[in-house]
Amino acid sequence: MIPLTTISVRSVVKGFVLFAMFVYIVFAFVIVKQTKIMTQTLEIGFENGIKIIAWMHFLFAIGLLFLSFVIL
Amino acid sequence: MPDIFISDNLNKNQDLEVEQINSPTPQPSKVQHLSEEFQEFSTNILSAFRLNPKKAKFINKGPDEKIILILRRHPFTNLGWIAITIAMLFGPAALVIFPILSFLPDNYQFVAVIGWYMITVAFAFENFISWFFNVNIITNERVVDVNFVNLIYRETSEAEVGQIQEAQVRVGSVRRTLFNYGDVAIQTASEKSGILFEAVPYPDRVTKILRDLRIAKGGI
Repeated sequence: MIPLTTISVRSVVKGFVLFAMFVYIVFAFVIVKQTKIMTQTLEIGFENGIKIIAWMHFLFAIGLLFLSFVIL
Repeated sequence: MPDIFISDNLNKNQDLEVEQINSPTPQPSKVQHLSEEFQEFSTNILSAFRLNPKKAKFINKGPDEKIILILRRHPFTNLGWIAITIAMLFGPAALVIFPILSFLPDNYQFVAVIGWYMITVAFAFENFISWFFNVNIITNERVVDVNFVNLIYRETSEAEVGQIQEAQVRVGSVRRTLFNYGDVAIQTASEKSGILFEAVPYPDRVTKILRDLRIAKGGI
């Protein structure tokens, strides 16, 4: 068991940041699902563009989590 | 034996009717007439008043159903979130003047700035798709109101054109009068409360289209 005195403030902050990033990934995934539902409900043009933006946002969110994991 | 009691005028009218029936060019329908009347309106996919969209579809659309008009909230209603988005884009630049993150190491500051831009993109995108997909559709058979209330909740109301009893226009503020947009409240014969088209452009023309459709359907 790791003694509490060895846990630095920085590692606690890093844990919080990574958790926030994870929550953000879930949010980005919900946006992807939401756009899917919307484009199934309505086909009024520009669906592919909207889907691409939603997926890009989701992938960037995952990338940011990895980046944070590496550089923090 | 010729029928001497039929007047000449009546015979002439009958001739005219026969000519109209045999005419090679069909008389334009009310829907075609609408299309011609509103030619000047944009058919751009981002238009808030999109007449006769070519490839538009929606859930539960009938095989013979034709979309006549797709309405969204007036673009002016997006001004608030666009202004907030622009302000958010300049947020990290403000850190130069107000270095509130200076107590953090550089790598944490970098991640914070990237995260801020991600949140900005998500905010703008959420608002955009909310505007883009919250539409009111008028077809030759019915009126449909599609509302995506939040991330996962969808609400669809519809009414047959023949059931429409009244379409009321509400234009109630200076900016609505200036930019010519307002609400169109549609009362139907059913027990449900009516359908509301919120902040749509050219509300008077929308009611005119609805009225013409009702006449074409024999609703009046």
